[in-house]
Amino acid sequence: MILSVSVMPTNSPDAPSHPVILDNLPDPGISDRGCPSRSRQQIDLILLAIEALELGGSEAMLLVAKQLELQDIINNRVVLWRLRCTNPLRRSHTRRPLNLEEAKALVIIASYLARRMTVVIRQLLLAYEQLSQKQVPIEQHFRLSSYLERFRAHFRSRMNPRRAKVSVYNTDEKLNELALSLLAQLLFCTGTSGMQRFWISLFDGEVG
Amino acid sequence: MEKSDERSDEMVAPQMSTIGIGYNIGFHKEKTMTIRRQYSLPNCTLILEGLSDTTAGGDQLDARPLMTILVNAECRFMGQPQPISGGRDFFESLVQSVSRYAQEFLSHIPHPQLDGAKPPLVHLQSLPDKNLHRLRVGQTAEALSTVPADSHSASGTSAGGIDGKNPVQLDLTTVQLFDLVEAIDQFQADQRTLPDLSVPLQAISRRYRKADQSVAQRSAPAAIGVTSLAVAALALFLVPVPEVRPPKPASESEVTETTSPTPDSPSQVTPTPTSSPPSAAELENELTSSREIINPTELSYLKRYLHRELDQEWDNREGLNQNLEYQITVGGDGDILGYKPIEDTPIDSAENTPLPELSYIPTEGGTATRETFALFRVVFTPGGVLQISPWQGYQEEPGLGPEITDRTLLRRLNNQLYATLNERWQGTSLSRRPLNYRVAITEDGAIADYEPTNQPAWDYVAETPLAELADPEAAGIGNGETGFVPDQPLAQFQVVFKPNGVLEVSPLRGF
Repeated sequence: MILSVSVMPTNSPDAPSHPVILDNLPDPGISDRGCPSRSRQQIDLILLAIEALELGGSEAMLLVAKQLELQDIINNRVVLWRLRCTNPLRRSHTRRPLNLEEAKALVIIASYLARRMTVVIRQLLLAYEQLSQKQVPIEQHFRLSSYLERFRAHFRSRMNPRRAKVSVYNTDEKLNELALSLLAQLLFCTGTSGMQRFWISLFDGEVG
Repeated sequence: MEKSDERSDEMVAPQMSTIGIGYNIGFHKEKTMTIRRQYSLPNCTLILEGLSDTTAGGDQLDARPLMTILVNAECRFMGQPQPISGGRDFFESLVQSVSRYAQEFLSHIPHPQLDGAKPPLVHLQSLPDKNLHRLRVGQTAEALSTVPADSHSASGTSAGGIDGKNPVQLDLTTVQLFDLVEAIDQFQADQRTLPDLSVPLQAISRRYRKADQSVAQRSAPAAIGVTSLAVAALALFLVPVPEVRPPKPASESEVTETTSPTPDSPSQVTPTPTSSPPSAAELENELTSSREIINPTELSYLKRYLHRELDQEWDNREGLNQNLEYQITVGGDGDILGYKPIEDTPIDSAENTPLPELSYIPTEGGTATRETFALFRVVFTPGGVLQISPWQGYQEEPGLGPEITDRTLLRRLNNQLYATLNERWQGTSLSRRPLNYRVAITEDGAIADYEPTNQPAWDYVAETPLAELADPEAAGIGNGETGFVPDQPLAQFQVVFKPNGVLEVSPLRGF
């Protein structure tokens, strides 16, 4: 289970149309209807957390898609947006399946970006741990509170508040909790097998 | 307090130092070599000491000899004076428990203990209130027995710290936990160290999700109170059972922490989760003051919409043991407002259906904006089939609304629909039978309505571009002005997607 995310283009002249990098993630053995609802939600939310961490996050996602030779699956902003709108919690939810290849591409992009942001992810989580130990309000930490603020803004503007599952997050505190839990998930994505761990976890309780 | 992680993006090889201490006295009279491998993360250092069985290792010229026998494993945490350590049993348990716990942490779904397995030597438990993870190392078989249990742990080093008798308990922060997971993953990626010890990652079966849900419910009496209260009402708003659940070890009976937002007090009956769904009485009041939809055509449009919504979001189709039947209240705009189990459907069964996902909270001042509703009977069968019918049936045969009949226009739209579908359809690789649909489009060519007309068409709708292209609002369906019927005539077509890649489009009633 060695993760090899390489940004170098492969030199093989007869590169197959199926991006090789997708083979880093196993097929989970779900039905052919595409990814389960929970997986689609989770993938979109982790990408939302990345956007809250990094300004221009969706640009970065497209750039990474290109670097990893995933542009056949995600070749522009509209496609990326449509894939993310398979999250049923979104205001602009489209009733379109998310197939395994597309889901893998999104997870690889998320993990790759998470790795690039390893330092800041660790710093924010350590800051949060220290603040909560000392019972200092999170707002005291500029970088952490701006992450949380951006996450809340993204979540509120994109998720449909009338979905019962969204309406649970109706206070700043609950959204902060969600944002921090996603930040911890992002940390796990940075690891040696983080991409695989995150991917497999998306299908917990969904396989036969 | 801590420096940032120094790992680079491309890093695939674990950090480790190999120190061949020298040639040791024989194991089975063969030459063996002591090897030390270290995996260092900012908060956690894993040190493995073992032997290379040179007859098994084969390639003695390899710069990094193969460690095949573990003598001692030690794990040190930053800021914790006492390391945890032990032999092979300890280390196997550490790798398994940590790997499993990491997956629980990511999915928030508890992983079951293997059937019949003895309580693990190393155990992790979430302390959600404190945002900590409790790592416990129990007594080992090695410590209890004077005779080493097997030759692998022959060194006699015992788990559980200094004297090996007392269980050790450490509370790890999330970052510390991650560093432990990472040290173990680096070990697992290292092919030259104990390659026989690997724990493959696997998603857990939905069987366990269900089992654990009932555990969660037993521990949350308030949630059941909410449910039974609501069942009595005309329509039901289930307070969604939150997905975030603490990984709850099966063997643990004294667990007190819970992340469930439902209060622990069993006396509490009112739903505290704040999303403030209306009370049952409020809802009933609202519904009696609104108008029930009885127009058969509108009901049939609503039914198709509901069928598409539920069919798309129903994931665990193989997971049912019995029919699950619900009465569902749908607003005039197609939103699912509430549902209640009927017949002998268990009240906690909705988790196996997409209903909690898809239910809406009524808009503020619901009576002003939501004037109409409809009731449906919905059945989820163990065979994975979804059946929907109006609660009271149809008063007369439902129609399709006004239709475009102009032959020239029909011909043009026929070509247009063919072109639209053909451009997006990439063939059906999964179905061996043709997929038949009725498709209705507006004068502008927007797909306003579609309906599978054979079973494969339901099963493989994801193979067609229909769900993605459908745009009911283009015909004013569900916009609240004309209710859930089109506000303009539609052209009706029959569309067949054939397994051989041939697409057929023809007017439903001929030219």
